[in-house]
Amino acid sequence: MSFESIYKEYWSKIYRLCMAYVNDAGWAQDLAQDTFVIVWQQLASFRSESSIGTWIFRIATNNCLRQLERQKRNVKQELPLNLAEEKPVDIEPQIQLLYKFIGELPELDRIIISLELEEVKQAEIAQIVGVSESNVRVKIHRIKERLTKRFKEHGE
Amino acid sequence: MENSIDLKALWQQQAVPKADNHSLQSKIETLRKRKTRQLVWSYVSLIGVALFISWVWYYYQPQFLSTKVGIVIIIASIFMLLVAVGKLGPFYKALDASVNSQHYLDALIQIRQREQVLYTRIMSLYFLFLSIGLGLYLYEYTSQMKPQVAATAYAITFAWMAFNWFYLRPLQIKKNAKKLDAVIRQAEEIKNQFVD
Repeated sequence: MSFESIYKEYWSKIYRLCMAYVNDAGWAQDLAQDTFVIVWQQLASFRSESSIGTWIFRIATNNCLRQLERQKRNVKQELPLNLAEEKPVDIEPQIQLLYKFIGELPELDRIIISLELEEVKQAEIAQIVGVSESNVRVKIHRIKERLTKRFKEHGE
Repeated sequence: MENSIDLKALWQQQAVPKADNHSLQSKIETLRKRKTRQLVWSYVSLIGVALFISWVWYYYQPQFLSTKVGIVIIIASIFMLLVAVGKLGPFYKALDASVNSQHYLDALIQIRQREQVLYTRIMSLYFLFLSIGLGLYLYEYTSQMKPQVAATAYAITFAWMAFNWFYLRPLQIKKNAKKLDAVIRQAEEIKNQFVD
């Protein structure tokens, strides 16, 4: 599989994953691009031990987790975040809410629910994050419950 | 299940910026340039240090062996620091981004812990060698001075070294540890999420 085709096929998926993790459009775009830089660098060493999707999602999730080392950026982002809201970005409030609620979850839950919503199989999610499949199932169930509850609370 | 369908539908509607191949390529290019620059810089500093030794040797023509040894130790300790600080970089490379997240966090924590130990050791070694080198270097010149002047010269030098050892060194170590501690603590917090 060539880099170009991988980039085309996975760009949106990786962007949404990053967006759910940081809940900031500019930052998410940067993160997604960083992921593809790593993919580009390591594609030659990719062995088909796992599917290419699993491999790319692993790089993306690890890249997201790595953000814990970039806390300064986190602080800096708080200002542009407000500015970004003033821009006429046409995102439906419901979608914004979903990403906001996901952003409130613990880091691992953010990743798991993003992969689930991206329709990655639960067995594959287990492989990506490194927990058992049953654990993934339980977590997804709990996270969905929590998100639904948040939507309901917001609706009231 | 109805809720999950809703969530998925919402999820998919998130506006995604267009895949920008051009800016990705320029990012890759910047990265490549940065790597080359780092390599060039390490060679330049290596050559610079070598030239400096030769110049001191040639210009001052030291007579005592202690002076020569002192110069070599001073330069070597500065060079050791340069190499070691540069060496911390490859630790990032040891971090394989394609393993599962749990292993990734384990590796990250381990690497940062090792970095902390290494940094403390290197800073201590650096100041220790620098002090020894300076002490040896001074000997030739102080031996030609009157005893009182020589004693004063040594006293000032050692006071300066003590300031380095007891104030600057712990300060540097503490600063670095604070940064790393925060990272390690957060990584461990995330790791705990894998348990239940």
